[in-house]
Amino acid sequence: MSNISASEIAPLSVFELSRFLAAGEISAVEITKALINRIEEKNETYRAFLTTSFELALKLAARSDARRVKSALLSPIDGIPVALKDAYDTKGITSTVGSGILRNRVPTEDSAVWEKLNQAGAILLGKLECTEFCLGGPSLDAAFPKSLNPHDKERYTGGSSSGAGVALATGMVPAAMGSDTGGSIRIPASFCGVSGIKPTYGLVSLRGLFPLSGSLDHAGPMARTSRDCALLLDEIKGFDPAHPTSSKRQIAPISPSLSGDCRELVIGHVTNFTELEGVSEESQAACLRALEVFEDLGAKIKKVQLPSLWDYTIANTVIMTAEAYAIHAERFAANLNRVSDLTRHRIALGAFLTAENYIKAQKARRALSQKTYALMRSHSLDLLCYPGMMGDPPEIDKVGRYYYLDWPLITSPANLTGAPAASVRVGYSVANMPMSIQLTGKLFEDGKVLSAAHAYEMATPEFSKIME
Amino acid sequence: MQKSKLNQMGLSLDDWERLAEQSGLDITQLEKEEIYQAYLRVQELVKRLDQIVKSEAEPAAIFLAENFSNEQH
Repeated sequence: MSNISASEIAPLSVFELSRFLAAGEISAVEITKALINRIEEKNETYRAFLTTSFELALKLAARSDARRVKSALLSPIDGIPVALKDAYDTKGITSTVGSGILRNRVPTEDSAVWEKLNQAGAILLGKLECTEFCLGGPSLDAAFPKSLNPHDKERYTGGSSSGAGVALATGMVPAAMGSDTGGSIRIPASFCGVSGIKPTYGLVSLRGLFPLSGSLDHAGPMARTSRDCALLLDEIKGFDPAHPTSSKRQIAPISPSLSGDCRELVIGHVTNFTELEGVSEESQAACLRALEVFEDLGAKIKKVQLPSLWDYTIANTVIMTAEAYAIHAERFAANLNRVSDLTRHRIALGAFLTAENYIKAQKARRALSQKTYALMRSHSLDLLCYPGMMGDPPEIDKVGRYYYLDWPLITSPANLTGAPAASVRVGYSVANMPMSIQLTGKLFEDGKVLSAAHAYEMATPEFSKIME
Repeated sequence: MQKSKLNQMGLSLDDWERLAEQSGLDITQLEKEEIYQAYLRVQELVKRLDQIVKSEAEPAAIFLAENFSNEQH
């Protein structure tokens, strides 16, 4: 019998839940039942879940408890409930990628990510709302109801891993999986006030993740803390010979070596992402305050300048749009009127891009990646730090069709360079919306990124909460 | 549509309509106008990349023979 009430379970992190499980103070079934109640209570308002798998979840939870009795746990996250962005294939469970065209799509194989989480003993609560075909959003006219930002329902959740951000912020789940091609983990993490990491490109297999742009897609975890992201990433990373973008390079487990120690850390404060490129003064000020916290923790801060955000943005946009169109061309030719307005416009643009545009963008990708990493080497930087987003989440009906052509995408550098990049919440704006910084690292140094993020979060616990 | 802007890019109105037709997408005239504006903006921004890469820069898509073996893939 649990010493912890159901209402106390919702705010708990993966780390805390695993401790209570290990101490025998709660069972996986009790946690799962409490979160099922939470989802039933909150989802009608916030619409984070498209599909729930409660029967399966309770079965998996019971098996986890049985393993616990025999001291035969599969991993540190054995018994932890998770939910997946609906772009991840789950065998026998509808996976719509947020589109009415695929509303009856039931995969026959699991995605690599769910395969690994399942093997680690995670409990699948269901599939999360995402913007149609993972392309930005908000698609208010899409087939499925849009999830709502619990901080302000009139403002955008961010996308495309929108349901993940909302489910975490409202305590419906402690852990979720998102994907990120131009910011789709980091934007909802930032706008919903939770944590997320886009790992190094190729670190997590994309097998069974519905593609948006194979050159830029990244699979990654979202949670309420960076430590939780590390726990999840440890279970999902690893070479997958069945996917061509999967990296053979392995990295050591991250979560055992997380520390609050920043004394050896050198952080490059990117000073040229300013209001000239659309970044609000408030976001810049929040970034400065965060860097002061890192200095107090012993990190060394150096001022640096990267190429213009526009350079990263246009290269990212051309590659993503061209590749997305190539994936959807046949589907769209037959079904264009069934696709939401924003998705239709954004992907159709790809039909007009030329081979020269695409090749130039790919060459620019290499050049910009080389410049970025050369700068980090020359300044002996471990991390780069800059504002997480340009400013407050926009009002939900004011997100432009091609907003990324009006203002640059501050998330684009890390997609283009493949660098690990975490969204770390750093407080609230004057409009009482969550604010964040981005910490990006060198390739395969995801551990350093999460370690720094964890150190910051430990030093600023006041920013950790779920929305009641 | 701004004929002059299209002309600056070496595209006639007929060229644009042809591109739209070739796409096979059933887009309305209004959507063509909107996508066209985005297209112009993309071409304007893509010009920035000329400062970063020379046209003769190494191939964009790298095919490394060593990634493949004589084993069947």
